[in-house]
Amino acid sequence: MKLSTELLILGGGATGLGAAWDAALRGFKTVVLEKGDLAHGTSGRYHGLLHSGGRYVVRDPQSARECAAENAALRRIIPSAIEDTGGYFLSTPADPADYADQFLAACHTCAVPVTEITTAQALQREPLLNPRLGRVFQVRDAACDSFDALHLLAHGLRAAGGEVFLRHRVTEILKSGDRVVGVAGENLATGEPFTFHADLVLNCSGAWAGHIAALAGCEVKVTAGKGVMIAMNSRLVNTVVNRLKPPADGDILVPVGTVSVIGTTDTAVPSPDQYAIEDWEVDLLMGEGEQLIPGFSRHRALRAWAGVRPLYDPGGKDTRHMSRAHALLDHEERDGVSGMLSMVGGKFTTFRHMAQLLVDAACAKLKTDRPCVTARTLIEPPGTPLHALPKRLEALESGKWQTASDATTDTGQPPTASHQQPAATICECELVTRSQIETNLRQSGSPILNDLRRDLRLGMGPCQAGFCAYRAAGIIHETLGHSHRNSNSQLLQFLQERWKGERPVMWGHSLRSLELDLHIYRSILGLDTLPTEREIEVYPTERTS
Amino acid sequence: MAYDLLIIGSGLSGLFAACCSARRGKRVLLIARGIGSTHIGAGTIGVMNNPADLEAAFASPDHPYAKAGRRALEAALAELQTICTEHDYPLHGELGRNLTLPTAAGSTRQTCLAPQTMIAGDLARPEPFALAALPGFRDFSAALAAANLKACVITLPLPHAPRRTSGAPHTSATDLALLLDRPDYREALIAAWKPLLKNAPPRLGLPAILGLAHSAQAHGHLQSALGLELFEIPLLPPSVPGMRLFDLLRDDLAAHDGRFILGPTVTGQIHEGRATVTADANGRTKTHTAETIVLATGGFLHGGLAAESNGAVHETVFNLPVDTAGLGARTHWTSEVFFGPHPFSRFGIRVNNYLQPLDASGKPAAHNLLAIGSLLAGADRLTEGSREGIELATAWKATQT
Ligand SMILES: Cc1cc2nc3c(=O)[nH]c(=O)nc-3n(C[C@H](O)[C@H](O)[C@H](O)COP(=O)(O)OP(=O)(O)OC[C@H]3O[C@@H](n4cnc5c(N)ncnc54)[C@H](O)[C@@H]3O)c2cc1C
Repeated sequence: MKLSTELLILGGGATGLGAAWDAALRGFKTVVLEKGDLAHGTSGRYHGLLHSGGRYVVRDPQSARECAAENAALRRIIPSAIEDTGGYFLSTPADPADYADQFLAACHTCAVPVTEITTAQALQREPLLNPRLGRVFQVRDAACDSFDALHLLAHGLRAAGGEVFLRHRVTEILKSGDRVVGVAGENLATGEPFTFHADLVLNCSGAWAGHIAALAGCEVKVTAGKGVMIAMNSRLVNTVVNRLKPPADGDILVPVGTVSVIGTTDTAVPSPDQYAIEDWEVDLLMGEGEQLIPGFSRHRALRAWAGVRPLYDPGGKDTRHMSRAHALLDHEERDGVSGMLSMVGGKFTTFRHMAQLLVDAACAKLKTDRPCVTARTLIEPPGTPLHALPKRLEALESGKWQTASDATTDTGQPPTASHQQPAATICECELVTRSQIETNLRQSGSPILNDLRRDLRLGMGPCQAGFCAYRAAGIIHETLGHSHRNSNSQLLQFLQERWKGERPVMWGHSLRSLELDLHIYRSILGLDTLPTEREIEVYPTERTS
Repeated sequence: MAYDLLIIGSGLSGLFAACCSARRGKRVLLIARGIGSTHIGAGTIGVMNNPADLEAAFASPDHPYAKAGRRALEAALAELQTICTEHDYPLHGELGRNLTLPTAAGSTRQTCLAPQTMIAGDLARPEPFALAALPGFRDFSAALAAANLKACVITLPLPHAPRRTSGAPHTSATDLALLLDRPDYREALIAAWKPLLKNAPPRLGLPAILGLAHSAQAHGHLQSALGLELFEIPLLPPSVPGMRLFDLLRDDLAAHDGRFILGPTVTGQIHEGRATVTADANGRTKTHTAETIVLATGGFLHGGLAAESNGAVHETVFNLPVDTAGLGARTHWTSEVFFGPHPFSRFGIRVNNYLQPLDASGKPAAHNLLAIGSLLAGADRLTEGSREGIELATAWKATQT
């Protein structure tokens, strides 16, 4: 496949999709290349916190200001992906008492909205919190579902005429002299090679940005800072809870959908593709959870995962102290290579701002003046928001997802041929229906079962996909008409991917659930002996220790 | 009342031990917090995936089969078959010769005994078969299974399929089994299906829904009316064939004056070498003792064992020492590969050849305490395919004392 475009964006995370959406709105012909699925990179593995800015007020005032402004902006642009949980900064007995005043003063300096509340007020709203609280400040933190957010951006991008190519891995940067003119790579779904020519290439590949820059002969040092998070089985809090102390490990608890997520850790890893979740990291997070919520570790841990921060900074071991700020790199100025810009570092919360800076720079390179409009463009969700469980329940209850067959079976009439596929709930934990799966499969370019986890949250609930994976594999087999080997492979790959997240928290109820799932999948269904085919490449090649 | 045998746990091992004893005139009490392994099982009896491995298991001293002995296994299978036949639910098969049956994913499974309703699925037989796709029934993917088994699919709509609640437009296997217990529903089904099966191969595989209390009638009625051999394929839990086994053993226990209390959580005490248990039902506690107490509480899934994040593993009733093969840290409990084999599968409590659990010093923890079933250390039941065989053999042996 050979194609050309004006702007070619490498990386389908928040930064890349944000930039592509911005550029398309400004009238550029825009294409995104992503080696995995949407949200396959750090954006799909982050903590889920739309920062108020509070976390950065003391140490990184500029980031704090940007977060405060972008927090307000994203609430206007992608409200359907955001749950306005609000946030607390609170001091537990383990936190330094003098930080509170410093924090409050810095919030005022950085224009981060903040109100002090009483511990009684905090405990009334969040009864599980440590009753021995010191001071509590309320901020405008929120929970942002990155799967939903990225789907919205892709939807906004397509509506503005842009395109996203998933499973397209860039392996080569094409140059003419010192000028980047395009890229070449492989379609991982089909194995076919592709080339893309472009007026300008924007490198938004996050933790992989150094690798992409190197393909163009430029040196960009991006340190991969691994952060581990654990999803607890229920919403232990309904408000984002931050510890009132300088940023450290395990000091934030975010309610996300049906779970709450404790995080994170921060350790430099040699490559964004090879890292393990260590027992000590899990133990540390569970221990810090105890500070916030007494008895935390008696609640069920559902899964653990890690993301890699793209930290732009040469050298240095302790990645926590590296700047969370972003950097726009003009390779012409910096390395004498024209035709390519890189945006590295930053935060999910500030992706829109980063995109604006990047596309402004692109306009300058292409000598055109087109103003950014993203700060006031609302992206309406194309249908029911993908992830919000209450909205799913509402849709299910109101019968929106039911087909004609469901209505007729009640009357006692035998179903006719056209009534043979009722919209049954396939995944009970996350309320995923058969028709949602079918629609998703039809709309997705290269659908695989494993993507349904991210796209629909299939199998993300407490039963650990014990029941839905087999049902979904059957639907995939019927809908796509692939070979049985292909369908088998997809099912096994799905289960193995789930297992990666579960294994680090295998004790208590999770171990019981594992025994049940193994019983279902090995002893009842015999999946371990099904014939399979070559595995579709999955990113990242993460292993659990 | 004084009991000869007090059994804790209502999985296959607990129920079977209770029945065997009651049938021999013993006074039996079975207490369980909830329903056990039957409802998640396939309703078949697996002894060893590869029958040739059985000798090695009997010969390796730590294996539960070695603790039970070959005679116990043979006698247990025979006694279960007798009980099931008495309840009009015959189990077929014999030790040393497995049946190869299809799974709902189109794979195969090995089993020693299988109910009448399943045996026509024997894959060693040459006659072709079809699988039934039941539209709207989400727990059986006929197309995928048939593709793997190289069988054909026949779509058979369910006449006025019932729905449970407005929000859940699906029918469960249990719903269908209850319907199929009814002759009138079977007639409706036969009328709808007969024309669609005109050119069908001689055997037809269905998800395991062919009746609950009257499965023999349901299976026989449909077979003769449709004019082909029918076989059931086990599904995701709760398992209809598993429920049949549970119901049948529970009824048999009641028929022989055994007592069955479902609900209380039991804790155990050992005092001067004698075990007693306290049953706690919503705050009302009662202490029981018996000539023999049999612990049949299962492994992790059923709550006989519990694991903590710090690497500690407990036996939940008497806090007996658990053999974890020296694998302290939880990283070592599992494999990186989902399907395993996982080392934790072998965790359990150690017993002597009388099935008496051993304390830390290797002596019997109490003179009146025995342990059976999936609680015992020393076997990866999943990999061996030996879960039910071990449950039955150890249960049978426990009733011989
Ligand atoms: C543990 C952790 C917690 C965090 N929590 C928060 C938080 O709560 N709030 C917040 O605002 N921020 C948070 N962040 C930061 C935030 O997640 C990241 O800054 C942001 O997601 C980065 O987005 P990105 O698009 O730059 O990178 P990514 O999302 O990683 O996107 C880069 C994409 O490039 C693709 N790519 C790479 N190489 C190639 C190639 N050769 N060809 C094609 N495609 C390629 C990758 O597959 C990837 O999808 C967190 C980060 C971590 C690690």
